Amino acid sequence: MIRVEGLTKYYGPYPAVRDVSFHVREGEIVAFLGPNAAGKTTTMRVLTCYHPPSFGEAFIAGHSVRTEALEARQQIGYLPESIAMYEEMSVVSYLRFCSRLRDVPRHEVEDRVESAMTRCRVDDVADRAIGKLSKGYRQRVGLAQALVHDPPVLILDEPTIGLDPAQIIETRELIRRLSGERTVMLSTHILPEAQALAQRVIIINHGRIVAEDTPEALTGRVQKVDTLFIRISETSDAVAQALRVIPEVKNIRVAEREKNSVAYHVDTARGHDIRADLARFIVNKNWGLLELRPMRMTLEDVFLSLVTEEEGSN
Amino acid sequence: MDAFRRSVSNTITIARRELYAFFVSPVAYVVVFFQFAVCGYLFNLMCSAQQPLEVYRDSMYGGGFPGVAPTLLFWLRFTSMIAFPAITMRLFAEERRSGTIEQLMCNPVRDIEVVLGKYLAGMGIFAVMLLLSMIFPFWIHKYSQQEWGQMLAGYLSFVGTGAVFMAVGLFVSSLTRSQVTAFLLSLGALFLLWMIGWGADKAQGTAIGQFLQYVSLENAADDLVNGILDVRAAAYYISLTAFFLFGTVRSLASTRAQ
Repeated sequence: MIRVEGLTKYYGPYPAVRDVSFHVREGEIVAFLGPNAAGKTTTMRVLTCYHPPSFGEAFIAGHSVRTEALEARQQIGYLPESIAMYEEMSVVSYLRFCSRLRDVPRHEVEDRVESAMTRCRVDDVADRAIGKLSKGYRQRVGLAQALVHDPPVLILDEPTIGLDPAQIIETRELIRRLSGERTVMLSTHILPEAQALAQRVIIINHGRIVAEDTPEALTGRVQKVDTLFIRISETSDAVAQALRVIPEVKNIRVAEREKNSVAYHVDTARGHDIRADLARFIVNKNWGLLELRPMRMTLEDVFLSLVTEEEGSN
Repeated sequence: MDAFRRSVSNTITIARRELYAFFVSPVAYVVVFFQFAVCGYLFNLMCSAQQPLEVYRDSMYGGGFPGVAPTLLFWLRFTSMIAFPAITMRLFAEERRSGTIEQLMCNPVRDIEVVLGKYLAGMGIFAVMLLLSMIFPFWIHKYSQQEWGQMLAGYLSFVGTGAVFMAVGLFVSSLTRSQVTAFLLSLGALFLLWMIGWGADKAQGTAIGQFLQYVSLENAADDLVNGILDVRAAAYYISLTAFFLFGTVRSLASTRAQ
């Protein structure tokens, strides 16, 4: 549905995006993840035909952004980062304006506007001026605007930036609900967001794609060992030595030393679940097992490790 | 055909939104009021003029010498030089400052539809100005029995000059994100355009003089004011307007490419 081939975009002499290629299948939700100034917004602006690419091509539903910009834009609902809208217009008249520009047939305009307002829950402020709305409402009007012509592709640039935690949760919920049959591409620098919403994550840094996979697979790629977290009440140093006897244990580190307990990170070979064995071992020694849980690498760790890997190789 | 219908519909949609923005902000009202306060005052002055300007008063009530209408039209054009930049300054500069331009240009609309839509909205305000200013020729006709034909031909000079001014202002507004800058730059640009006529007078007889004469705004206006409907004047206004509208489209395209 979205195909990007060898996309490069220069701002003056500076390449904001360098040789980026990716693919988003129909109905997929893909997150574009990267630190600020990584090239996310630039890529999205090329996709929405706001900026023409310097080199390379992009296609939206088969329409080239270079030669068929109008057709490509027609397929897209776009929420720019911290969307600016005409402050003096009321919500409903703004949505009418948007739907007319996107070729919604005249007799359908009212229904589409009505349904977009209901779905994004802005119907209670329909007649208020956009400039007088709170940040959360504005963001929802922004989403309603992106949806009003019922586009097959949604492009959302940092859809939750600047919102308070309750609004963030609400907006994510909304995006998940709206995505439905649509192809969604959203950008974020918040990792849990990518994890929560996307089926696939594209990590971009310094204008290049660093990695591209499902959140789980990305974790797997970086994680060479499984790590278990254990907390026991026996505080003697002999414990670490004794645990190394178990063959699957690769490494053991002290994570936290407290007055009555010590916590360890135990690295084990991948794919071997030794939790039961470990628990039996500790109980048999009578060390007082307080806690035992697997530690998952967060996408944050994955991201950091991929980005540092990339910088190391340069 | 369908593409054409869409273009027209998009242009009208943008023009309507732009007109709405004019009507909810005080600027347009203030500008229209200011222009009529000044022109009305000058008109009043002419109608009751004492020496050495009594020729105006006499022509007003005595008929014959067409003194009042041309002078009034001159002042209408002259005050437009200040009024129009105040109207056009917002059109693009404000969109660029607030960032709404991104959202607008990511709609499936052509750049030229955006430019024409905004131009039409500006011309809508101008139409209101024109309608209001019709009180002057009615007055003149009533007291001086001056012919309608000549006065309306003279009015075309106001229409043509307004069309050019609007295009220049729109173009300048697309170059900056500050309304104040847009206002001052347009004012400067219009004044330059106006001054070309003075240069033409000074360099009369030379080739440069002839060229300046041809591109001078006031020269094109003069024939019309004297009641001569000249194709050259129409061609002049239309080509200058088209030139600046095209410049605005190019300026938008370069905004995209940045």
